[in-house]
Amino acid sequence: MKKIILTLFILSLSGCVQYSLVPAKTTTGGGIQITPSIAWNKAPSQYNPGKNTEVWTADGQSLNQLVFVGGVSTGSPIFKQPNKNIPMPAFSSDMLPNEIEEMVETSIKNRYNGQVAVDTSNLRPAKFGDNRGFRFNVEYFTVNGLQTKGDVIASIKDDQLYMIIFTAAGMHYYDKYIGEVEKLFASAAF
Amino acid sequence: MKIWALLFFLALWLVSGPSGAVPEQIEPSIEVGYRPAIDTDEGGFWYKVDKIEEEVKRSPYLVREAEINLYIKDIVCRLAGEYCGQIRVYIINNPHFNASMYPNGMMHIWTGTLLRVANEAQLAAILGHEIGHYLRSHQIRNWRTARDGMAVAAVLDIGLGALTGVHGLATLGMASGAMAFNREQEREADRYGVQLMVKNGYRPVEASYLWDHVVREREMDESKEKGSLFFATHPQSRERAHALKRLAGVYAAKGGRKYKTHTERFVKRVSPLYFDFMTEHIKLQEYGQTEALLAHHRQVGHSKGMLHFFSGELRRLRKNDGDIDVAIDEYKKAVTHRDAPAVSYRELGYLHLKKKEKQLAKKYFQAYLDKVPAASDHEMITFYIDSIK
Repeated sequence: MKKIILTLFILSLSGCVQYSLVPAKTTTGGGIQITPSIAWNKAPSQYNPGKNTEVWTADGQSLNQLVFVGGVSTGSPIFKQPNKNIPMPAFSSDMLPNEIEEMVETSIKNRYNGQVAVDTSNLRPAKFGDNRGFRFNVEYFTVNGLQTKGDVIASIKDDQLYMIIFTAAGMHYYDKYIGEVEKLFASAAF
Repeated sequence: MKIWALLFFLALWLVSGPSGAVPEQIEPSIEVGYRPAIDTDEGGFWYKVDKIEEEVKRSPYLVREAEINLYIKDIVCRLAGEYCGQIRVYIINNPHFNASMYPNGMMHIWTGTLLRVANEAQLAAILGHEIGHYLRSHQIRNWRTARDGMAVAAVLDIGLGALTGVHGLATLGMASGAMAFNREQEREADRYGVQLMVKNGYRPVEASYLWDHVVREREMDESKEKGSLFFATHPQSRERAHALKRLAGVYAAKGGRKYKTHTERFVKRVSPLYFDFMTEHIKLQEYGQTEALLAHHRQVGHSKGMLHFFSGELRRLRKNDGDIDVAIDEYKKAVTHRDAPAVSYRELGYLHLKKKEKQLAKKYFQAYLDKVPAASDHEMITFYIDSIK
């Protein structure tokens, strides 16, 4: 009997942390409408790095992930502060693309307790939904030494920041999913 | 004064000895070419550290530029003398102030250290200190004491690599907590360092100036690491500066030597990497610290173009009242120097754009692209240039 109760208890615990399947059809991620062409897995909300965010992964978060950032207002950071000594930079609607690039760089770094050196490059104009936006690349090594590459697309609409951050292991996974991510970026509407 | 009081002080003077005697030379406690047998406890310890060293060699945080590596290795060789071949130096890209020594002869020096030292003599003080730890086998002694508690072994098992800054931008607390030397060992290493400096003609008082700087920097800093293990296990910086100054005084009083600091040589070797090192530092968001460093670098004589650029960066990122105007001013000063980073023009473009001074923005954006036509953000900059009529 005890075993059954214990098993049920464990099952109930794991029930809270289940990933849910996102089929390949039009849906929303963090308030941004997108049409994935493959199935993704939506992470349970406790993995969301910030208030208006949502995380998807294909093979597991450490291998690849999409972070949707939908509608961040002036004065708010994009990610939660990991501890009080590592302040997260806050968004402001008068930021230029280069400042948002720097904010994302610092936010990713601080999300890992300031322990990764993040590089960004290739800042360029890009259409995001129907809005004028921009893109850039990120690259860093995780604390376990895994090279991570990524693409960010962002735009400010009605004074709010909308963004999709794709990151994946530089080995195999980035190349495997970048085509899908390009299509997903192009499908965005908000 | 009563006669017994005089006698008392005379006795005290005789017991403590006249001040100014050169301290007894510290001798190495290991032999040249020393390597423990693998079946001993020490051999096992080395084996683990050797494995970590393999990881260090592959670390993305390793500074691989030949010139700076040769420069530091050369100083180490002169200081360590016949032990040179046993010490391998790894420069780790980490903007904090730290250096560390491992029992197998692996030495780490963080790039943040190169931002704190003012000249080659001060660098020699740090390197000599680390060599001191090695030659006096401090670490194996610590390990033997700690082994029963398994503390150090446990640290090794969870991967010292993660704690040494080779996998990530480890903070000082993490790095020094792994294998802290005790205060007595730190003092001995300090004395050893000065001894090696003197032997090689480096001005010994520079060791204390380095710690004076550390004190100043921390006074200006609202750092997150004030209570870190580094400062708990290292003698208080003030106390340390004082002891080193006294020691240097003793050597100076002895006279007869012409000591050097080799400031120019140091600045010349560090300058090709100064931009990279400071860029990592400014990303720490420790603006008080950055400000103290820049003031220090003005004294040291680092490139003016770089100093104005980073003063601009500091203001632009800190955004205190009035900072943006000072930032513009600093970038403008920077670009009057030939060695200013080309991105100074870009930042001027962006700041003028934010102030809605579009023609000025356009001018500086164009200047940036003229300098670096293949810049990775050229599409963005071209977009702005084209959109300003």
